[in-house]
Amino acid sequence: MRKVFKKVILFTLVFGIIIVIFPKTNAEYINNATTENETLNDAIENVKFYSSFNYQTLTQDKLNKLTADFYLPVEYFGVSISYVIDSEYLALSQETEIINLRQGTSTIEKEVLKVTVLNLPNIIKGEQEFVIQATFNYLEKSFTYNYQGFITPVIPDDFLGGALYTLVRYGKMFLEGAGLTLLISLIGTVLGFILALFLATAKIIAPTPQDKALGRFLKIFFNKLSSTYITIFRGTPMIVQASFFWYGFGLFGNALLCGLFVVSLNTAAYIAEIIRGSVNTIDKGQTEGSLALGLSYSQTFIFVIFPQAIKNSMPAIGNEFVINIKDTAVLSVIGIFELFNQTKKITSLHYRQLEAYAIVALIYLILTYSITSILKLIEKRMGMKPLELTSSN
Amino acid sequence: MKRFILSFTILIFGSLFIACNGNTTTQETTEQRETLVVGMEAAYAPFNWTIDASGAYEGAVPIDGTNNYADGYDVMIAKLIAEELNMNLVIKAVEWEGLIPSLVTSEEIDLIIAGMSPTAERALTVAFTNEYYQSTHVVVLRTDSVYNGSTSILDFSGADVVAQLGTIYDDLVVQLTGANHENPLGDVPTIITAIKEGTYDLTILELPVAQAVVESNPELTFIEFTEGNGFDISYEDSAVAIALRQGETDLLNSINAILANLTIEEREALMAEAITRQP
Repeated sequence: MRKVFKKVILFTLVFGIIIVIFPKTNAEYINNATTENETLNDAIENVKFYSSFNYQTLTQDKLNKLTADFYLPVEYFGVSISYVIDSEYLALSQETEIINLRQGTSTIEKEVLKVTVLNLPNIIKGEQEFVIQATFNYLEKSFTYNYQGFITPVIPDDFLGGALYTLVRYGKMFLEGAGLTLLISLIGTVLGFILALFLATAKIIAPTPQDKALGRFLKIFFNKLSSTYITIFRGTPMIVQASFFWYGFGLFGNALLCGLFVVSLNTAAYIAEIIRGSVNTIDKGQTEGSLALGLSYSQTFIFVIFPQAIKNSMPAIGNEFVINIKDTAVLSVIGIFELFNQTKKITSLHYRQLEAYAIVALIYLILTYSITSILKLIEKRMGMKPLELTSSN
Repeated sequence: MKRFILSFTILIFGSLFIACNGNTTTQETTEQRETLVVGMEAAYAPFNWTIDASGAYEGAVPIDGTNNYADGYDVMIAKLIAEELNMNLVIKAVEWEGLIPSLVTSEEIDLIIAGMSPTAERALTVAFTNEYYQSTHVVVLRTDSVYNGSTSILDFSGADVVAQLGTIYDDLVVQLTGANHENPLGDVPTIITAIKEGTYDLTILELPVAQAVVESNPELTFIEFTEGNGFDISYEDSAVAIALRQGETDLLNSINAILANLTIEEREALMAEAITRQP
């Protein structure tokens, strides 16, 4: 009796374990389940949305920058798909329609639901996320999958909206351009100033009766050289100089360096004339005085006349910097991405010029006005200081 | 005085920083492969345009020496060619007038892929590949224009027509019988603005460009002509081709082989892709 009881318990245990491990040993059912899952997975992975433009496939990249209506297929190889969209910007139509997709040379028909873009967010709000909840149904099984995307603002038709859009959307491009414009004008002015010191000196120094033949010759030679240089660079437009050096010679093999070179050379010619004019305004008595005190001719020039002349010409040189901020716009012709060129590229994105040029005019105005104010402040402070002639003795 | 020098230096380095940050990324991917430098205007959508990093699609290519990206049909073609040739692609933005000098004189670029038509005049200085796109020419005008609704190039008598300087568009103006041929302007955005403002009645553009224009300017539309009513255009004017230096036969042949594998359907698909990508 005990043995029988033991056997019964053993049997129940083994059978129970078998039942637990293989809950439903229905082979057909397992097969069905895997194919159902596979079909569903296949549908989830391969189902495509179609843009209303030429019925192009919407990739994830395009879903992230959505601006126009699109279509959702209701069926994928036997898997029926239903959608829920919870977004104030999108509306899902209730009725299906048929679109003709072009595949190679043939077209195929597709039954789809249309999603209409009700309105687009404005540029201040920025892009708005939306989620398309797609439910895939196949035989008994169903699976829900979420597709994410962003509705992106487009440029409004009116001027103010367009200007705001351009400013916010492309603000970084404007800023980079402004940075480069400042950089080129600043370096150009500084380098131009250094070069101008030599040019002005060469133009001012006149041969004296005490000079020997060689000194006389050199003085006249540099004088003429400097004059010719100034005449050429002041007498030709910077746009021509830039094109000449860049398209003619491909100078330095780098447009930016070539541009800097041109600005420096150009500015030097103008500043040299400013310094020369400033030297001429220094009273003759100063030269006579320092010569009488025993300073040599060159000492007089370097330590007495030049410092005063340069100090007096500082406002004009600062002005040259402000002028350069505006004039470097012509460097766009050799493809430097300064402020004006950046703006040109922005206009070509939407073929809308008015907005972009209004903004860039404002940016130039802010740049020049603020720098003029800073320079005025500096002038004021410099004017209050005593002449720093003692330091050179 | 010292303080001014100090602030001056800070200003210089400050603007240097603004201007140069981010430039380094373009130079990181220099492997053993040779580089292929492609020049384009980067201002002729949908063939090529400039966009900042935040608005760039995957696949846009950085413009050399800037923080901007280039995208468009030309960029897709350039990428395709660089990939097939196993070269690193570098894109430079060059003004339209400067493209051929940059290729021939300063040799700053190796190829021009810029929606350029292989005219006989240009073929004197550069070599052209086979066409990589062939387009039709259309007339762009305001929707409220009296000329809207015309169906033939003979319907534009009295219209003020402006077109881009130095392009095939300007040469086609004479075919609009009876129309006034105005002085050409420098670039397409300027022309579009002038037409919107009513300064001129219409302009001539390639179909994809016209589509891009109309997309963001709803007050404009374009007229496509049916066979026999449109412009009489030679092959060299309706096609766009890649320009390279004369004598580089190997490069020319390999690019032609790559283009031969690109079917018309694939080209149209790329162009449609470019038009949707255009912001």
